[in-house]
Amino acid sequence: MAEKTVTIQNRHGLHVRPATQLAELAGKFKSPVTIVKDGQEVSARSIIELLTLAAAHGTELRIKAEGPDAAEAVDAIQKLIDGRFGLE
Amino acid sequence: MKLTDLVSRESVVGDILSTDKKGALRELVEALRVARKPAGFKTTEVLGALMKREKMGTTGMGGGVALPHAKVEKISALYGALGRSKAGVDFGAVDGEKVHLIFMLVSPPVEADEHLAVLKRVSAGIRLPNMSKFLRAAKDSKAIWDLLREMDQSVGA
Repeated sequence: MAEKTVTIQNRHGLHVRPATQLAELAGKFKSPVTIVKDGQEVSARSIIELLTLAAAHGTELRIKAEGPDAAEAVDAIQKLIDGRFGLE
Repeated sequence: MKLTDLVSRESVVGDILSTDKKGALRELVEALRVARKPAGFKTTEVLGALMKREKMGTTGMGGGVALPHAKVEKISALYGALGRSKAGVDFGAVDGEKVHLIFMLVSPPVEADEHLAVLKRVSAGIRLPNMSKFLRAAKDSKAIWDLLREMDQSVGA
């Protein structure tokens, strides 16, 4: 089990493009990854689920993974979010 | 904002006939123009903006659902349209599957929070149990619009 807390830093939040990037990245790992916002937990592999979070700029998210490559998955997703999805 | 406010009854296209992305989007843009007659709305301009966004990455989100969207400077309100394709549209979706439900959003330049709120509304409705299956199997555009109303009721305010 690996976990990290991150803050959405890109100005427009988790809209369709970053959600798509996040889901594609999460899908590359064997370990299922979930994203938690204020107690709402969704699969990081699903763009539709991620969009239901409506995570705006400044929102704190918890990344959780469990499985053989959990730590790598959480690290990779943290880098994507901290790097503002390469959008700005 | 309710889905039934976003998508008027006449902005539902029960049978998208085109199987290519641009053709399908054109049908939806035209349906929206005829249904809502938005001021400053030009089909070619809106279609161009939607296709430009698609070139940055497909909005085919997987599971047969696409969420094409674009900002258009000159319009004054947020408009949505919903199209259903029985044959499926080649959208270059992330899962490689054809798209059967197209939720299109055309907005003036809006605040990020408002955009996220609309995306949340649409995605929360679509992911209701069996909802995309029901939308795909619906008899006609009236039945699809009734399902939108159900989505509004289930998702809440």
